[in-house]
Amino acid sequence: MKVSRIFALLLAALLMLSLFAGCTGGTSTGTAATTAAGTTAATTAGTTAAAGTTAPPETPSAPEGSDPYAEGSFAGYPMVCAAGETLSLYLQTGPDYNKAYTSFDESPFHVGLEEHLGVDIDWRMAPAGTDGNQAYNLMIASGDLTEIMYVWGINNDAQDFLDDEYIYALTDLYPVYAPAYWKLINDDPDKLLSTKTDSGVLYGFAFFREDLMLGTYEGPMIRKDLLDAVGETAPVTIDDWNRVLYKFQSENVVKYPLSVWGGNALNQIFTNPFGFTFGYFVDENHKTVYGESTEGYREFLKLMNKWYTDGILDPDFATNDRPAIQTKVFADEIGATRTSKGTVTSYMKPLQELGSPAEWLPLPYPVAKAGDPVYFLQAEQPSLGIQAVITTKCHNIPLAMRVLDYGYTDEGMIYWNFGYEEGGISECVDGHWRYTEEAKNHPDGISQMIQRYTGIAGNGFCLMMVDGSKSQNEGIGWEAAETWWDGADTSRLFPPVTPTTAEGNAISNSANAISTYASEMMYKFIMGEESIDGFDTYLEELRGMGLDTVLQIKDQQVARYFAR
Amino acid sequence: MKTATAGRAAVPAGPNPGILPQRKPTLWQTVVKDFRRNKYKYLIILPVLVFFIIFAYKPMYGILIAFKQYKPTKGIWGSPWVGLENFRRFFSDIYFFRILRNTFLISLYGILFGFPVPILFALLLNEIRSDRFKKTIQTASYLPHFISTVIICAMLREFTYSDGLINDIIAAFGGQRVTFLQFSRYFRTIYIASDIWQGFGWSSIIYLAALTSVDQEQYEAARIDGAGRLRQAVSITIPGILPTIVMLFILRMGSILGVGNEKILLLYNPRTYETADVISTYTYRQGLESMDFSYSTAIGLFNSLINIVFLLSTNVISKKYTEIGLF
Repeated sequence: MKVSRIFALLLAALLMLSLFAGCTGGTSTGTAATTAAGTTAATTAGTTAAAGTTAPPETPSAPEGSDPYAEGSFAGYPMVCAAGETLSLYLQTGPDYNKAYTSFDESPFHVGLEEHLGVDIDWRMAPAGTDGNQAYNLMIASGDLTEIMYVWGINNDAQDFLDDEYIYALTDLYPVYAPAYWKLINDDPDKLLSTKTDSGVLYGFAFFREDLMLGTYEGPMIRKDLLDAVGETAPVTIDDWNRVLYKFQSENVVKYPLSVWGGNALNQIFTNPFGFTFGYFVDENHKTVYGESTEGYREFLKLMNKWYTDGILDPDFATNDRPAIQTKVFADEIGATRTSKGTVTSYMKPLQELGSPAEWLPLPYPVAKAGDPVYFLQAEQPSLGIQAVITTKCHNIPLAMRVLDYGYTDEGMIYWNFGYEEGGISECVDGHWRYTEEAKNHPDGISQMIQRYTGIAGNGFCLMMVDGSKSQNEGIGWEAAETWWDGADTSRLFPPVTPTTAEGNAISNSANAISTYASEMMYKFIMGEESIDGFDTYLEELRGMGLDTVLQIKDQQVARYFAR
Repeated sequence: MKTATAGRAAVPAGPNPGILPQRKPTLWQTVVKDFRRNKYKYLIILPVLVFFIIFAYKPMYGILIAFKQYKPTKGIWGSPWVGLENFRRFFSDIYFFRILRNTFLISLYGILFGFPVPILFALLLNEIRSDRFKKTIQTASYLPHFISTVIICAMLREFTYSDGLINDIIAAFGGQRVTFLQFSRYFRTIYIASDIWQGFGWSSIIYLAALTSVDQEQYEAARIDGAGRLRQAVSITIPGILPTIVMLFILRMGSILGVGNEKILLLYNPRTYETADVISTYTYRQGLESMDFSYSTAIGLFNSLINIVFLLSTNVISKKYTEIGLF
């Protein structure tokens, strides 16, 4: 039959066409690799000419004569650039971003950023649905780099990239082209150390928070109404906590005085009084210590074991997950737990609707003696290991540096954190910025608004302002953050070192085995399956797995870090 | 129908010119002939072929990085050779035997208990008289297959909490409440039982299809000979679908070390590492520390080699005893 023949041919043709499904169009957000070829072809012509360097990755020399970007002759933002001047920029974003936008042209923040800067930026990101890491690795492997890259984990690869001439060292250029960022990192030794390579070279623009406090977003909280019921005040020391929790039990006011989501949550809130934290940390002499091998850990286990056997601690703690804790909170079954500032804010409304008597109060981390500093808490390093770097494909380094410096200038950081001044989601009140009520009550939610109109959802090459977080988490969330930061001293946390490949190979197996063993044993000790008398055998076992070598190598890394 | 083409010795015509003894045609001639006859079929599978060549065969050369210290900046060729170093690291890991043992056991128990269930289910389903009842049961049986792993795991955790559904039932019978997922000895049972529950309906489809190809006359003959239903099932049905069973079994054995990690990651916790920690989850935790492509490729290569060994030996054994094999 003629018709069925035609149909059959059409079907075959259709299937053949499916072969082309893999190719993407030449839009500005196609795969970083394929479309990068387009612009780099246009810019390679300028690469070797400008900046005045050829092969070496060392700092390019600043051009002679009047320089529109140099400090002193810089006219401010928006910059006046040659017509058609563009920079390509690869932005490693989270998967949420890809869901919201297919192209940065749709993002009000990024369009506005180009306006504020006065230069066109060719934004790139990994295509939706793909793994950002893979896309990034592909880009590196193919050599089709964009002129600027803003990626995670660049700290570990930086030395290699400098040696292999993928990126430029910028150490001497900051004072000339990026004064705001330069001032910022020079004012704070922690910031400076965390963004250098081990050899002391600076190469990028890192994401920073205005105050380390913004990195602490989890901590303990307790039911204030139960405290009142048993006639107690908010516990401060670990002994207070012990007394209060037992009172919760003896007066039978709640099912589980304490419940947490996984054993690591216990680490978050109760290790500080015992002078350790899980994993590796440094003591006052910068020597590495493995938390699960300290004497303080022994005491911690004894207490936790007592709490478990006496029913103070929820017997399901090892298998609880976030929804389980949430259910228990809504059912008023727990007296105290660990939470995050976002979570506690999200509890408020449902609890109200359920008519629950619960009044949750965030508490500072417990200490051994009142007035002790809090060394071991949930906190983040000043540098998260994300930086924007300038690759050797860049045709105009001063311009690139000015673009990157913007987020650290006074006006730039306001745009990054709060978006447009008019028609945006923020307002300036009494010299402090905050998000408007309409933005907060928007049906899509304040987080969505922040993602659309600001660059601060997550991170970016800017300084994250305290006011932004304060405004976003107004209410119990912010109170909680301030309470948890009370008395904090982050000097004991393990610094963000840069391991070499050799070091990594030498210890990664031992480190993984040690951590597996330590996790298993923690549960066994707490739940009584192993008697605490077996702690010494456990220490022997840890040593046998190579703990001393691991500590030695980590000491090396720490020493290198502080010598930068 | 052409006879021998040029280039081969012409065979003299025999007594019956139409039926000439011919030499076996060469492979090339067979292919050309088949192609001419079935061009459109080849055209249809061309995209599939291209897909496999590009995505399955071409990337195989990347296995090289298992023997190198791969760095993305240097690319595959630029990275230095390290020989068997990655394998040595893997084999000398303190927990190597444990994770290998766990992977094997979960797989083997899964096959032991899970493989017969769809077959039995298909056989039982076959016996049902009422068509509507049969179809209802069938549909209900493969609904769980469509539930995502994450949801299944959430359900399992809910049910096995000390105040969850399963414990409520146990308590109703006077037993003691136990949080099952906190104990190593229950982990395998929970994992495999939920796998069976989720998959048996879907897997039985292929057996049901195979059942329809069993000759009905044989049943009649058996009935006349006085065979009961059970006897019929054992002597006619099972041998009838045996090729299908054997092939699926061989394929299953060929993925013996391929215990995927999503479900385990969602169900396990350090309390159950003893039985739940498998190769993929252990190396997943290690990978969180470093992006060591070479190391994970080496482990993947090791897994594949073991899988192939199992696949081939099962094939050989089955060919020997049942003359049915994949190749």
